[in-house]
Amino acid sequence: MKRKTFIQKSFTAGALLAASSFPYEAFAKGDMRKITILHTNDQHSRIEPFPMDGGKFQGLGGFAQRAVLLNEIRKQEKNVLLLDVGDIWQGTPYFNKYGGELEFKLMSEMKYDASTIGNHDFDVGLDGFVKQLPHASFPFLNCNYDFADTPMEGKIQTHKIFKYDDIKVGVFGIGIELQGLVPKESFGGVRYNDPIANANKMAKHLKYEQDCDLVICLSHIGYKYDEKKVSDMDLAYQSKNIDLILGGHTHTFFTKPEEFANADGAKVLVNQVGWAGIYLGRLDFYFEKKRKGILMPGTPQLISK
Amino acid sequence: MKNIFFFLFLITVSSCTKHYVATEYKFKEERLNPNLPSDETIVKIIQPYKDSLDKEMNVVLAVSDTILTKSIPESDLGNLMCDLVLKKSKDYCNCQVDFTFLNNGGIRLPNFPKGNITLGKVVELMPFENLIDIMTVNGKTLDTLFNYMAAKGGWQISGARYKIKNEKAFDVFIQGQALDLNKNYTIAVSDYLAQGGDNCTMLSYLPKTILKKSLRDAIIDGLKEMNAKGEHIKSVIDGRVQKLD
Ligand SMILES: [Zn+2]
Repeated sequence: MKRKTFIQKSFTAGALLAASSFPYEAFAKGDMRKITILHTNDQHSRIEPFPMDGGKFQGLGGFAQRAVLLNEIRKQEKNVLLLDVGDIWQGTPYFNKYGGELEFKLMSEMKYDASTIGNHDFDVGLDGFVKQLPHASFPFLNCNYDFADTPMEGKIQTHKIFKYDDIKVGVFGIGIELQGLVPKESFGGVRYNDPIANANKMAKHLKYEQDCDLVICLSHIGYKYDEKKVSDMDLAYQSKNIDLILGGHTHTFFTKPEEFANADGAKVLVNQVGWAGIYLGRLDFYFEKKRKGILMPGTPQLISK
Repeated sequence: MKNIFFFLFLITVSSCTKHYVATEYKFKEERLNPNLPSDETIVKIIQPYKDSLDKEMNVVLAVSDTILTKSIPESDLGNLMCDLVLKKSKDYCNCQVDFTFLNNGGIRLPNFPKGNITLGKVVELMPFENLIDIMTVNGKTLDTLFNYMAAKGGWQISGARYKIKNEKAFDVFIQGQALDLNKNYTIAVSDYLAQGGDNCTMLSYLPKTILKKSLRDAIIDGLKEMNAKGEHIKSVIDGRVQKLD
C-alpha cells in the first residue's frame, strides 16, 4: 500500500513540460504511442542505500529499492526501456571483493535493456570485464572504442534496436577518452575515436537506414567542463538525428532535461541523474503518426556568410 | 568583412510515408527515498554477498568526533587523507617525504561520518588499489604541478601550502620554506597520478620508487595507530590551500 502512494505522489511532483499542448484526444483514439525511458548512470556499486550516518545522501539509493519502483512502473506501462550509462562499478567494497559480479547479476534481474561502458568499468582490466559478462543478460553498447585485438573484441555491440509494436527505438553508446583517465594497463589496447563523429554516423544509420522513430545516445563523456574537453553539451550542439542523450560521468544532478538545438536546428534532449542510483530518471515519449516534417515547422537556423 | 545573418524557418519534406514522430515528452525523477520498501528477490540475491562482506568490512578502525566533508580547494576530509598518507609514507619508505597531494576525483565519498569508522567506510572513501610512489622531483616541475592543481580548483595536500588566483598557484611553501625552483624535493604520490592520471602529466616520465603499500593501506594503518593511542579523528581546514578569487 505504501508503494502505491509513493508512485502517485512523485508523479504529481514531477515536472510536466508543455502539458498544455498535449494531444489527449489523439492518444485516446489510439493514434499515439507511448514509450517510457528509464535510466541510471554512475551507479558506482552502490548496492545498498547510503547508510543513515549523517552523510549527504543518507538513506538514498539501493538496488532492491529501485527494483520496487521498476516493478510498479512496469505494471502501469506497456513499453518500458531501462538503460544505464556506465560506471556501474567502483565505489563500495562489493566491487573490491566480488569484481562486479553482483552489480551485473542485479541489473539482469531488474531487466536492464542495455548499458554503455564508463571509465571505471575498465578498473579490473579488460579480462576482468569479460569475466563478468556472463552475469549480464543485457548488451553493452559503444561505437567509439575500437576493441579489435583485445579480449573485448566481438563482445560489445555498437547499437541495439528495440521494437515496441510499430515503434522502433535505436540505442547506441559513446565513451570518454581513456588516456590520462584510466591506467594504461587497465584499458590495454582499446583505442578511442572521436565520439561526436561516431555518434552522428551511428544516429544517421539508425534514423535513415534502420528507420528508427527515436534515437537515444548513452554517453559517458560527461555533461560539460570548464576546460576544453568534449562533452554532452558539445555533442548536443553538433549532433544530428539524436533525440535524447542520456549522460553520465560528471555525476550531474539535472532537475529536468536540458533542451538544445542540434546542428540541424532540431531539438535534442540531454538528461543525467547524478550518481549512485539516488534517482531513477524517467522520460515518457509520446508519438503521433504523421508525415515526417510536414506538420513540424523547423526551428530557426542561423546562417552566416 | 560584414557578416550577414538570416533566420530561415526550415520545413523539411523528407518522405511521403507516415512515420511516428515524438511530439511530446514528460519528465520526472524517481528519488529513491529511505521509505521505499525492498524487493525481496533482489534482497535474496544480495544477502550471501552481504553476509560475508559485512564480516570483513564492519571492523571499526577509529572514531571520529565530527562529520568530515569533501570540498575544494581544501577540505577537512582531504586534509585527513593527505596527512595520513604523508605520515605513513615516511614510515613505509623509512625516508623523509616533503609533501603529498591528492586529486579531488580520488576522494570517493562526499562525507566521512561521525562516530565509528569501519573498514568498509575507508574502502568507499578510497576504493582504488593505487600504490604509493616515492619520487624525487625538482622545483621547476613542482611549480608546474602546483599550477596544475590550482587550475583544477585546488587539490588536497599535506606538507605544503599554496594560494590560488586566476587558476595559478602562488605563495607555495613546502615544509614551511618557499618553493625553490633549483632544489629537489621528495614527494609521495598515488601511482595513478604519477603515471599521468587525471592528466597530471608532468610526473609521468620521472623515476619513481613504488612502495608495496596503497594509499588505502596508509589510511587504514594511520587510523589504526590513532585508535591504538586512544586518539579520535580530528581534522580541520587550516588554510593550507586558499583560493583568492
Ligand atoms: Zn566516469
